Amino acid sequence: MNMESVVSTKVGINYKGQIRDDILANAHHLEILEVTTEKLFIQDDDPVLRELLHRLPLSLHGLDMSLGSTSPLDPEYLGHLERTLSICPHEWFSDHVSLTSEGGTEVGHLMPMRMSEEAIHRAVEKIRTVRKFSNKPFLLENITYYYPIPGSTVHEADFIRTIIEAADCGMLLDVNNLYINSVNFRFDPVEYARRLPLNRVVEMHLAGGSHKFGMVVDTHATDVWDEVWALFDKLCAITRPKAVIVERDANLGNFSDTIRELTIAREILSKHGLRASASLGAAA
Amino acid sequence: MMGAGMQTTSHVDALELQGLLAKLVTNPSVAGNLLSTRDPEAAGLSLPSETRTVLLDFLVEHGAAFRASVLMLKKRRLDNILESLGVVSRLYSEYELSCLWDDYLASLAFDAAVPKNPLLESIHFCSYLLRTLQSDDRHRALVLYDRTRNEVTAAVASDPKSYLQCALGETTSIGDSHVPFIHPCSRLVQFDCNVSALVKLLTSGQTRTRIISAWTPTQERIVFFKNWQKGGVGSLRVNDQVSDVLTLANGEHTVGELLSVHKLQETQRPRLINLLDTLRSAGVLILMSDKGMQP
Repeated sequence: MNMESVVSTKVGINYKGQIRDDILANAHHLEILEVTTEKLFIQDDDPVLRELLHRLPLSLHGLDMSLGSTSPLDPEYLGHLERTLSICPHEWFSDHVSLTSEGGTEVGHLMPMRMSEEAIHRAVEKIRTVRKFSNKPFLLENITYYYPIPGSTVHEADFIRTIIEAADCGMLLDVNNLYINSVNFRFDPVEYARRLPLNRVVEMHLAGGSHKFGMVVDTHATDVWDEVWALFDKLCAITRPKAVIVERDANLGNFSDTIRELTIAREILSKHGLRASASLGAAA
Repeated sequence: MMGAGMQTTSHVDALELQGLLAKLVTNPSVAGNLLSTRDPEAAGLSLPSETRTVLLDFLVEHGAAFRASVLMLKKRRLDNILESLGVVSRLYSEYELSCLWDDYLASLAFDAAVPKNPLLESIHFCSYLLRTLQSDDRHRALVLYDRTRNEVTAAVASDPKSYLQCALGETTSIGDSHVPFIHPCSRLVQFDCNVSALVKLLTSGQTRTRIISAWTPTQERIVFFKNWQKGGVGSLRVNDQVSDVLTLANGEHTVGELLSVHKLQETQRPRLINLLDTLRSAGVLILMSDKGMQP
């Protein structure tokens, strides 16, 4: 392995205000911080976050762009986004293959979108619009969903790949979402992943799910499952992300458990030559 | 998913179908009715025949998963708004909150444009509680307190102007010609009880019985403001004089005019200046160099 091929994938977590003091106290364990983009629409709201943003690279992760809506992007949202991107130094910004509002109805969660040629065109145009706000990459994330929208005519992996390639953007590959969908809809997640634009994966997400309603559901409320670590291991063999974020949104436990999960992520990345120190050590 | 999402082309356009499912997934009572009866008309829906067919086919194949999504979203929405309702979430038990949430959701019209942003929906939820609680219910003041805090945050979020940039810096001495105005995102609210004491009891972990028994009828005015230094929303209990100053701090009166309105003696001037300075530091007031600068 030569120096040119050494990649050091950053490892971090998503920011949660409830544990902000823990995050600040353990900032030395983090190499990147993911923050919900919409949280930064309210500027100067959180002094701890301000401090963290001085110390750590920032991944901006949006929820409300609603790329899947049939309507154009919301001008008010765009205004907030443009302002935030212009004043918050960031590594990249991202959002989901989903819709959060349609026909004047706000959904309040990431709802699946109809996967069709028409929807691809609309999503690509929207991504082109927001890409103008920043000279940093925009990433598109795969979601967990439990039902498809009738009328979908394109396989999800092809749908995502086509949008990403046409919009010339990156991918945020959520390993937990991929795992959950593979269980609920019974498919091989690695075979599925090979249809994605893996050369464009910039960030990966890890999180825990829960069993509910006879399905596996995406709760971000438990430790990362062993099955998800195993899938992450397999995916690290075929992609080279710049960052991995361990997400936790509820049932926030002891921060030492989070540090332990960061360590596991680093060990798996090292195994695949995705950590600079380990790679250099191996070369020596 | 590999095959489930790929159906033959539906002639129902995406807006109509996505819009319908968006309304259903956010309206648990209508969705529950539809899932039980499989009869759109019985659930109060009037749909074109082709949409009706596509919807019923969808429910046959994915009804269980859709029901799960409805229930998960219903709970997530409640969990999310309670994160921003520090008082209400402590005031009521989990069971009571669940019942109140059901009542709130049932009160929403199927076509109502309700914001699902947790902060904004928390304001709607509190407004619903204030509309439906009895006028002498001792919980009212605490609900109003929480709602007002979130209104301030929402106002800051939706306010495109950066008042901080055009305001006089804190090091500038306040003079007679300066113009104070209450920050547009601040709220001055009059309560009919000792609400600040009740909030303190609540946040210190006292039982609701203890809090309700501590309820005392009195006039209490509180100004809620965006705390630009510490983050979040600050609150200050204010007396008559401060309340009067805030009422007149609308950008139309200079400091000198405030002095004369209050018929203050020159000896009282330092007190007023000191008060304005304190309110400016807290973020309640903004001071401009002259009237022409007001936003």
